[in-house]
Amino acid sequence: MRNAWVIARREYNHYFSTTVSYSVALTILFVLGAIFFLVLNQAIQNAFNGGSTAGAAVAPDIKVIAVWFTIMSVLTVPALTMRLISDENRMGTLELLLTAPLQDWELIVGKWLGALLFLLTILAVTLVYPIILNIYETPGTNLQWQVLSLIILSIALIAMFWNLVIGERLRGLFILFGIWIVAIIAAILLYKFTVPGIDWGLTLSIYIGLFLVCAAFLAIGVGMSSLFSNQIAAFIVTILAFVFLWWILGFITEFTQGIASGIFGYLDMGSHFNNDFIAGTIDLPDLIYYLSLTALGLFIGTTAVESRRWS
Amino acid sequence: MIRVENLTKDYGSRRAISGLNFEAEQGEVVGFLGPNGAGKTTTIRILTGYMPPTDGTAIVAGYDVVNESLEVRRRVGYLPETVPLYTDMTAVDYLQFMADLRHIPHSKDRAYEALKTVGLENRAESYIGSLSKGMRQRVGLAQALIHQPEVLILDEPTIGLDPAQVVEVRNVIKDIGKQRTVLLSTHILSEAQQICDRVLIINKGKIVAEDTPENLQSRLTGSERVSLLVRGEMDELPKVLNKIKGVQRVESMPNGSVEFQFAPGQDVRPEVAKTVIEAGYDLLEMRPVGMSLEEIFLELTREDRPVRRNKSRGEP
Repeated sequence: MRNAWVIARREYNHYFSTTVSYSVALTILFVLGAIFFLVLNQAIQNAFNGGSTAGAAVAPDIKVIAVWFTIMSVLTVPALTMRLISDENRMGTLELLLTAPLQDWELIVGKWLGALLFLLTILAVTLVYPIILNIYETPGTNLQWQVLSLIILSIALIAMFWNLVIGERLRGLFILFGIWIVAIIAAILLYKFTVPGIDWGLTLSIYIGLFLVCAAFLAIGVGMSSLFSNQIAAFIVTILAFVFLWWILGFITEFTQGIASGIFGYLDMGSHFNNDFIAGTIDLPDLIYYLSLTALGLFIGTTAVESRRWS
Repeated sequence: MIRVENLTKDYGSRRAISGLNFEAEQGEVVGFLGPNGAGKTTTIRILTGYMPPTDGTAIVAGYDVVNESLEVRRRVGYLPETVPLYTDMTAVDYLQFMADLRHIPHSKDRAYEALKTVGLENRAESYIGSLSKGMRQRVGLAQALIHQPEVLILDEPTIGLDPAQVVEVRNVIKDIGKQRTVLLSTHILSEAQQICDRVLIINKGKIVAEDTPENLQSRLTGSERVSLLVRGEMDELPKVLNKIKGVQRVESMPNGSVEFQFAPGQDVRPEVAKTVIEAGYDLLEMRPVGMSLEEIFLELTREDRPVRRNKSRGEP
């Protein structure tokens, strides 16, 4: 496991030195920011036009952000995972890793973990939206807490990029997660102090769901990357797999009946998130589904790497 | 310590190496010589646990490369042919990463030490992508040395280095070879002569000669071994030659000629020519058997020639 962590650290740092990962982060955050702005703007317009004084009645909720985060993940995660193993293969560094004293699964789990940390870093940035919404929905009450938590989150982001771009990158990682936890605690405090704010329980459920979706996507991506020595091939196959799992299985479910519909419905990756986590319910089958998908992806990756050792 | 028995590797229907047998002891530098595609890299990859053999066994540092691969990999330092480097990392970060994978305490200090060993301490903070080919080669070597391995396996370690660096790197390897086992592949014979205690020549997946560099050199320097082609009573010829003072190791060759040897400085050729003609033979040809490395390869890989395995000087 220690080796997996060494690999993950290198991988996480690597993401901050490639343009692909910056463009992925930029794309996701730009789309989410634009949508958040449009939705919030629309809500404010509605509030004025309807003459309603209670903003909460027409306020957007965090679900919009969550849904668009999953859509953006389907489209961009393949770009994050495509080179994980295939590039090592191309550069000849796979030979280095396979002749170093680490187990094949440690290599795969490390790669996955590094990518997961990077995607979670992007996800952490989106925490700014529920906090803004909370301020919007609870005018006047305990504003100082909310502004404080927003400031803490901003400091976390600045510290993260400062540390990652300049010098000691690993320290940046720890500072990021330390401050991220502080931000979450601040958010929970907010929940306690501001009664008519947004539903933080629901927000927590959504973020747990997003975490599981990210984990599963990245595991599949790592698995696909290990099957190809060409990044582009890995990218295309991964994105096809995601589109199939996230959307096409849903269509199939609608056009089938009985047991078949049940099976396809359970396999449909999108339904577990869009029906349960986003509604604030976390069921055991959902957890099992995403965790098994993650395990499957990592298993494919490990087996593909291991197969090079078969005579 | 490396012990290889009957090692065979097939890629599909193509046999890359077949039935290799050799050993390398602690405190020994063994050179692996051969032309391209001879099976050097395949053998090395099997020994480092990168790929399994089709048949045969290999014991490295006391562990089986197939069944105890992880133990082998802990004890082996390996520099592959295409130096595996992450160009987006600095030299010292890269070495620290490799040291961390090997659970070396104080990995950063060790990374600097390893860079010092290969003479790159002033480029520690440079990105590997900005280093020259020779510098990259040395970073790769530092990576192989970082955990002070029992067995060091190097695939063409001096390629791309300038002459001064070549000398430095060879000295580093020689130093390590005093206490540890070093196996290096090369196609530069002079390199093998300078640093190797023993040389294995491999061709088409088979070991065609195993010798000390001195023996190889004596075959190379020529003029002391002579091939003689005459017409006449061939069976009597060796007896005739053996009577001449200074002629040693007379051998009848399969192609009908006779080879003999003399100590350098005691040129017996005029005497041989005179004696042979006086004995009634027609002298057709007398030429020195001086061999370049290429000629050794050509000679050793000729199908009709028996395999020579000289373990030490003087043995036929």
